[in-house]
Amino acid sequence: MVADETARRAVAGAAKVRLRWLAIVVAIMALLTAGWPLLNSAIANRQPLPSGARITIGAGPASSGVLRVGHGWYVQPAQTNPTQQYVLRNGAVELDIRHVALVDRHQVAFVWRGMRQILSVIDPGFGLGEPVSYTTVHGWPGITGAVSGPALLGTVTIVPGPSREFAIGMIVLAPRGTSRTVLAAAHRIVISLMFPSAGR
Amino acid sequence: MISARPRGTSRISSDESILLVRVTAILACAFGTAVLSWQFFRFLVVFPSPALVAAALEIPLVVIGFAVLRRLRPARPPALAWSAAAVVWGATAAAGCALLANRGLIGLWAKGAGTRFAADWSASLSAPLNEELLKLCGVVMVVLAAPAVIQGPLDGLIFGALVGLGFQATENVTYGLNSIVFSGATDPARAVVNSFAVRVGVTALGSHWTMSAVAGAGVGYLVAHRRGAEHGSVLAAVACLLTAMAMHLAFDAPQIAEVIKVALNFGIVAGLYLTLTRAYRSRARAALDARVAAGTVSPSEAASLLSRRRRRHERDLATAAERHMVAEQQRSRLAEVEREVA
Repeated sequence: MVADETARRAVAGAAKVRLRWLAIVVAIMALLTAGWPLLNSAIANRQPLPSGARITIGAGPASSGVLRVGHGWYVQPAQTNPTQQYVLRNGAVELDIRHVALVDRHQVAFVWRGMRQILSVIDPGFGLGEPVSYTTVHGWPGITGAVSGPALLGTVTIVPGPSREFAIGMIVLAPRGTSRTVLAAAHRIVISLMFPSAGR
Repeated sequence: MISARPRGTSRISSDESILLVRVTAILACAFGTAVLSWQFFRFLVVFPSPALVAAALEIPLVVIGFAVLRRLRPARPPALAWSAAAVVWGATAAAGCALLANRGLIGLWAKGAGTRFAADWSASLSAPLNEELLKLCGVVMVVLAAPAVIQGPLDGLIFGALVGLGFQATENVTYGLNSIVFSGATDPARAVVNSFAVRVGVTALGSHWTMSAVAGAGVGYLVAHRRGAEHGSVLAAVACLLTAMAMHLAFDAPQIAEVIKVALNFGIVAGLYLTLTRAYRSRARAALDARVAAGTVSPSEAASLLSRRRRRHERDLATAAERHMVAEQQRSRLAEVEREVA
């Protein structure tokens, strides 16, 4: 009888320990999976940029682009990684600047088709028009075209780097009906693109 | 009428608690799968062939890794179903939850320490905490769901490695898909293959499986401590987890050559494995010697029990009628010794 009771208590104790550890596992998973994102969303995702600030995108001078930012822009740090992507905002306008590391020099011809597919991954509602030639104020040639979604309109501009081993893609998006003045501010950033490796 | 419950009893039986653990594990895996699908489903729609290539390339890695890691356990491999469950946890629950956790913590680093600092260090400061703990939860879940499967540090190491293998495979696929975007989707198939070549050809030997193997050994030390084994230790468990986190930090840190990172992690896990195996074999031989002295095991059986090849040889020597009985006796004796020395 005593042995039975001891065994029964041992089994009950094991169940209790198991449930305690299960609670610890669930708590750790919930804390990490929900805790960090909640804390992140509780902190403002905006860092103002001074007017005239220069932002550099890319890893190292040979593979970087530099843009000059005007008044009223801020960076969204949670979506920004200076080696790969900047997300800037000014009111309702968003400027998404992407560094594209091309697999080889011959891929420049396919960047527009690639961008169309990337936009489709982001949102299947986006449509990208046909590209036309584009030149930055520093004389770098690229291509640009209109992008449209159910609620957003904008432009996509892609400028290959001097080595043609990388390119900078810039997506301007704003709600339909956004004033031309604000959109023009975004386009002034886009057209300011220069490449430090080329020295101009 | 309220009936008094006897002291020391639980509201839930042992079997029910195990069932609850298993159901929770399945839900966690389903949640992880849902997160990964939500995040990467559009890749499958827009880039179907490269996405399938990214997944297919991981199949040999998982199959070979699974076979090799299970083979590392002395005497006999760990339970097949629980080995597979560990891989599934790593590939789904841990990988899916890590996606959300890392995004949150990396965002906090970028906001608090600046985007430049975050670009260099956020991965190495976020992943060791999030990913090592989420993978470790998988090893703990195996302990809770199948109490006899992980008995000591060597079992923990192997199950940790299996969880890490699953995580590594999923991460390789997601990195492959992300590389399509980073390369401007100009040649999606090539981007996927290039990513695979780096992550499997260069870094695979020192990646997730090594880190979670070390952390998993810690869970094994904790289990051994709880069942009163001499080599069980809470301190060793904590040391293993911290070592795994440090390995992960070094692995993700910038400015360290890949070859050094891989060699370091592989060296640590190999050293720990050899140490644990030697200690395990020594304890097993001592346990068998005691049985031989007590006359419960014959010297020839003791000599063959720890070797797969010799056990097979013993079975081959038996007549067809006896073979099943010999195999059953080997299994039972081995299980008894393993329980004692793991």
